[in-house]
Amino acid sequence: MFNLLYVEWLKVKKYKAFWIILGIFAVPFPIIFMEIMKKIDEKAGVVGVMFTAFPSIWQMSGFWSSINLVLLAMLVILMITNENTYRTIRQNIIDGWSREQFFTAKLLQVIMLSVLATIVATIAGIITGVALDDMHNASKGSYFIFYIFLQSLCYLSAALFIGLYVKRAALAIAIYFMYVVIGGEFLLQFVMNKYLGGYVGNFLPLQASDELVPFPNMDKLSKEVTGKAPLDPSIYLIATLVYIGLFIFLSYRKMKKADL
Amino acid sequence: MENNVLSLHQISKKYGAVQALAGVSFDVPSGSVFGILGPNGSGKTTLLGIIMDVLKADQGTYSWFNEQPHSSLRKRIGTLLETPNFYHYYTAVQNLEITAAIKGHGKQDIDGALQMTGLYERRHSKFSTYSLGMKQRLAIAAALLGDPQILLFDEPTNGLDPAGIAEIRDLIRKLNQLGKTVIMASHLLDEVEKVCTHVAILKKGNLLTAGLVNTVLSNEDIIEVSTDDLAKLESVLTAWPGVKSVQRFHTILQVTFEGEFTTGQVNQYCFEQGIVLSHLSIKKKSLEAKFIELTN
Repeated sequence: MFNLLYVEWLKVKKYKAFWIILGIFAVPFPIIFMEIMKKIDEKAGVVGVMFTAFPSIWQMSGFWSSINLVLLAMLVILMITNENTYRTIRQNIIDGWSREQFFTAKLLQVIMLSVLATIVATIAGIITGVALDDMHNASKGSYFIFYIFLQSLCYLSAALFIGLYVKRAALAIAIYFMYVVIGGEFLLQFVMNKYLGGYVGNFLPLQASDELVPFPNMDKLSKEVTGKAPLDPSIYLIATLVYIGLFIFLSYRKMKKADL
Repeated sequence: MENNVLSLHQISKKYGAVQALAGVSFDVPSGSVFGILGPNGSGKTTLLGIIMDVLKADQGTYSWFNEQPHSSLRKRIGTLLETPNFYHYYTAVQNLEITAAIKGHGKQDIDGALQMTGLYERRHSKFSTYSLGMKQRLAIAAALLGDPQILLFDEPTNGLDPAGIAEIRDLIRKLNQLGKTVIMASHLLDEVEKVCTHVAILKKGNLLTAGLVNTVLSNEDIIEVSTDDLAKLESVLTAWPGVKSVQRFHTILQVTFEGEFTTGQVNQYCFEQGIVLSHLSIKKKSLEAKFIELTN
């Protein structure tokens, strides 16, 4: 295990693109978040408190994190497709790693990046909390931090899955972008909820983990507007865990059987 | 069990409708320089890919060191498969550090391997700036890390200049003298003949023959003769017991024999038959011709 992490560390240690993307993710993210939250607090007055006090701060931070996770997902896709492009995936196996070891190394990378995303989102929540709320309230909804971790793991294991199956960096990133950023998932969710009824669209792979950390007070609002009662969060928790398991299992199976 | 480092048993693989390998079996004895010879597309690289677990065989089994294949066994094999595969954004040294870490060795061999392959001066240049020949050398350097007992080279002289080719051949002989087994794939018959002790010949996924180079690629001599009355000479030679074939090329006849015949015997026989030869020479049958004969 230590050896796997050490080799992965050697692979990124002096890889500039890796550190630039990581830097963009880790540094501006909490600062911009705090500034936006301050603006909301300033402009929205009483309504703003719905968003700028704990536990809403954790939820807002999770929502903000789900947008920024695209950067880390790109990084995961880049790291796995690089191995295919340079054919170092072959070389690592030839040099004596088993296919399982190669997969484990990549999975460890995904887990570590998910931990990092969680830490960054937590820092964003804390600095915002210090500025706008009393830190004594920070424990309210702190379980959202764990949900943010699951959300990150779901987003990044999906990236690992796409990277392993699609193999080409540009195509894999394009597919991920179309689904997550340009609104492919949003559109699907809308269409499915409208025509299939109920909350079917909420169970799309990444949406389920987004529902785990919902936009604050949206459940109450949606109940008033649509008259539908929101689903129990534990259903989304199960769905998210199932998706994470599925992405990891399918990636593992691909790695185990494919010609490299 | 015999002293084989590698045994293949009925290895088959298809790519869609193309039969890349069809039930290939052979053994590689310890201490040999084993050539896998075949034209482009004969299945050499597929075969090597399978025994290094980067490709999956449809059928068949193989064993390294008489053991079930296992990833840790590959750490005892230095391999260059098809293309040099390295991280483009890293230098030679940084790349070899990764290789050494995967193989579970320290960094102590890196300088030596780079010196042996003539890359030491350029060790801090990025891989992406290397020429094809330098990339090939780096791949060989990577294979040498950790002093493996077996070296597996796929077209090792690919992209090298003539001096580089000679160097690599010397290196292979040197490694063999140190007791290492070298397995190399090549489409160059000349290369196999110069450095290998054993050879297996593949054609369209079928194993044609395997064994000692001297046996498989034994050279038959051709004797060339000419005279004024070529038709008479041809009929006289064809009638001679021991003559295997007579072929006419313009004004020359090429004769092959069963067993050993000298030019002197040929001259004497023709003279006794009343023919004075105007041309008599011995010609080694070209290995290329032999190769084409074997693979066609």
